[in-house]
Amino acid sequence: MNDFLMQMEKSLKHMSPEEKQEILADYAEHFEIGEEAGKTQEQIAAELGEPKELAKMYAAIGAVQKAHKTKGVKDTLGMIGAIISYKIGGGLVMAALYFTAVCMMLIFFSTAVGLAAGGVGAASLAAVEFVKGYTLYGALAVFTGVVLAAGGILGFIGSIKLWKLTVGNLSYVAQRIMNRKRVAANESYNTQR
Amino acid sequence: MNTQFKKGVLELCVLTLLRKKDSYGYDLAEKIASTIEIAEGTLYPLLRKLKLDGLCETYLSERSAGPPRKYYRLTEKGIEMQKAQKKEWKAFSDSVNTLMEEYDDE
Repeated sequence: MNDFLMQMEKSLKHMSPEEKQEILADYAEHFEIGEEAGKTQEQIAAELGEPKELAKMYAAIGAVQKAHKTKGVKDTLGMIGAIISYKIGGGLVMAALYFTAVCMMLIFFSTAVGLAAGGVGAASLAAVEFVKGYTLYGALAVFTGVVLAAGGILGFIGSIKLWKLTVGNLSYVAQRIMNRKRVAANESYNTQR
Repeated sequence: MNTQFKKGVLELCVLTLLRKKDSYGYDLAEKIASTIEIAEGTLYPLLRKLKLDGLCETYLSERSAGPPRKYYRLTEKGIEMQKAQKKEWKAFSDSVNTLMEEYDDE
């Protein structure tokens, strides 16, 4: 194993053994073919770029992919963690976005639950009065209660939908940042040359 | 070359090469590096992402001499993606050219 591959293996420490092996095999094949074509290992390594930078791209791709697929809280936090710990940039922005999204969801959620509960309560109280004989006001009160409850339930469904939307979009943001980083890796390589 | 230009274009380049014919990493890297200056290593994470996104798949091709090579082949989804990105790129470069023709006096 040459210097490039050893550095690569070290930098890929958080990957599963299978992924690591697959990635290393890709670069090993690249070296093999390059050497067959008459290049030196140093030449090939210089053309490939920085193993550390490349490893960051793999880590982020894996984490974003996972968050994208599941849209779950754990995987999204994992994605943000990978992006921060690999110093890809934008991780703190994403953490802030995520925190804001969670807070907004909690507000939506509690408002919706409150509305639904209040509506149901008001409707049932009014229904009792209605039965007792306060016809017009009773009917209006029942109606208001039902509308409130319906609004609350709709808000509840909406907040679940919105949750999926915000978390899903976060992995889109991550993908955009990664595309930019891929370019940045190229650029740092170009200026080195 | 300007970073902004390269952004996103690398993917279109890979998709276009693969749509023409199946190929292996080294070959793709050489072809692209001969026209656009890139760190060739960045091609492999991109290929991995394309595979995870279902735009291409891989298979091993035996050779008479030496170990088998990992080939990449576009899927239907990959072909559609190439068409879509090509259209976007053409529209974009056409508008830039139009603007240059009209306003660039040099």
